[in-house]
Amino acid sequence: MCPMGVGGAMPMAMSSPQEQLPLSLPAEIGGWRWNGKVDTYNANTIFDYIDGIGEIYRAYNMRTVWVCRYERRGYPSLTVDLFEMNTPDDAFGVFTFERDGEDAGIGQGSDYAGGMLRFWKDRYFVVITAQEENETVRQAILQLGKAIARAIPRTAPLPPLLKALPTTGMQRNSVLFFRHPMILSRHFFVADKDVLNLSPRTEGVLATYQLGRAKVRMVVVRYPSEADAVKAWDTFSQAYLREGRQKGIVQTENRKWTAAKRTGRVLAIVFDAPTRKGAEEMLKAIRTQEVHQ
Amino acid sequence: MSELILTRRDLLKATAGAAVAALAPDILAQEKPKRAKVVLVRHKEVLDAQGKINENVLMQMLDEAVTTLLGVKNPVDAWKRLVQPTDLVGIKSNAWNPLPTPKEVEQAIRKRVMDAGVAEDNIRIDDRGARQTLANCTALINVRPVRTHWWSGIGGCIKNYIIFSENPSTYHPDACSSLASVWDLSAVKGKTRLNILLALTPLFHGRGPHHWDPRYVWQYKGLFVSLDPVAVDAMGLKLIQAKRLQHFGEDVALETPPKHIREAEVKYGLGVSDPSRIDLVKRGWKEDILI
Repeated sequence: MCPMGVGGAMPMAMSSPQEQLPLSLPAEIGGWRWNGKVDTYNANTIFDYIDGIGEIYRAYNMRTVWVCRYERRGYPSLTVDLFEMNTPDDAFGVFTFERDGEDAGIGQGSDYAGGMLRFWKDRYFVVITAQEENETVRQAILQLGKAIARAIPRTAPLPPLLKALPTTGMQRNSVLFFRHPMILSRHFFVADKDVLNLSPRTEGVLATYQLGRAKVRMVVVRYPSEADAVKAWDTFSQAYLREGRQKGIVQTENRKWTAAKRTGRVLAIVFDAPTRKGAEEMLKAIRTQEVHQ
Repeated sequence: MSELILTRRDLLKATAGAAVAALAPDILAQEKPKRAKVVLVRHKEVLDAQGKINENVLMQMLDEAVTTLLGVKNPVDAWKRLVQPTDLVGIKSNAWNPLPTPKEVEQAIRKRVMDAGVAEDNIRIDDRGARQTLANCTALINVRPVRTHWWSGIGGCIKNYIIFSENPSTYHPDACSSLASVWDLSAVKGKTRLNILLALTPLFHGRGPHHWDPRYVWQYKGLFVSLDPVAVDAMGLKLIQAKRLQHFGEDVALETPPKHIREAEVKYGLGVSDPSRIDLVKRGWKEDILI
């Protein structure tokens, strides 16, 4: 593999299909040059690369990650992790898993902090990291990120399920898209078992709302079928609503209110509203009708 | 769903005392008088501003740690209590790229093992290939840096042996709570002579695919040693938690609860996890010691 030259684009075709990059990456950025190697991992081999954290990417249906390194004498190397997820929703989801830092304005959503740029576009999720950071490194990372984002030809719509969430009172960057109970639990613990009947084919969103001094969580899950949603309602209401199962609302042990409803194949839940009325109003504000078809 | 389910409501219901009882009934049900000793040594000059290790200072720290731990004046005599000339010694290192066991540490240990009478050819150092290269060793020295870990809360001396397992990912469920069972594998069981948990530059919070962010690494310039892998990890955890409290200004929980440390005592009897039963002996530099 030979770089085309400074500032030029390098064709990514490799002799082995497994090592063939889907995009053209720059051969050189701000003095850093690609070392010409690509490491490729799939959902079965991801642990060879990133230890246990690979479970996160598996939980978002990753297909492949290509790893490239850019090097410059006297500076830390830059590592590009180019993840191809199963769908754009999965790419958006894995981006929402861990937000930190400033919006870098790259791709369809990005953040930058501490020598790490994360962004998503279409079905790709990209992370560029340096082990140490200074302003020169920061600029190189951002330039490289912009170049990779340009190389991804398409954009994708946001997950349709987001339409169900009201925007009033929603905390900035609090939305999490998930499919797996492990991912939900990392952000908001509901139960130690999968009481929401989640699977790789379900879509879920979690968002945090500020209601006075209270933090209220909304969870909306769309299932492949209404039968799946009914099953989820049964398990959730039995395990969590308990005495409030019939009415779909209960005052929990912290003296706050949890309310839930099912519309077709969509389950909506409000956790920790400060009052019964607040829980009912917030549940009503979730637009399940718009997304249950 | 007939199985027992622990929900957020159950956690809300529990008082702090009740929660502890629910999570650790075994440890509360029986008195465990067993205690452990951990030595923490720090030195201001072990790292320069760029993080380069001063090898002489490092050796002083290692010597002070081992002699204090064993109550022996001379470091070589102390090491002679740990290894025999007939031993095949494995130094179980850690190769995690952002924060590996430094080569200087590996070489300092190797030197003291040789000083204790072990031939150079009978000393092996490895991490990723340990299951093959260290399996036949008769004595192991377990050494690695302390850091937060996405799956197990923290990565310490208990976890450092996971590579001896054929399939490390099978330990991931339930926050790696069964990690201590690795210590029952034949390649490991009963062979560990010393645990060294490095706190030269610990990582106290991680991000991204590699769980790494240079903003959350600091020069603590310390190392812990103990004969008890659980106790040394309990002290490492205490340090990480203290640093998070200092940095974030509030008690920000680890992304994963480090259940494996408590389980290592309660379920596997590997050592002492309760800080109140660990005698922490501190030597050297005290500034910003945190614990």
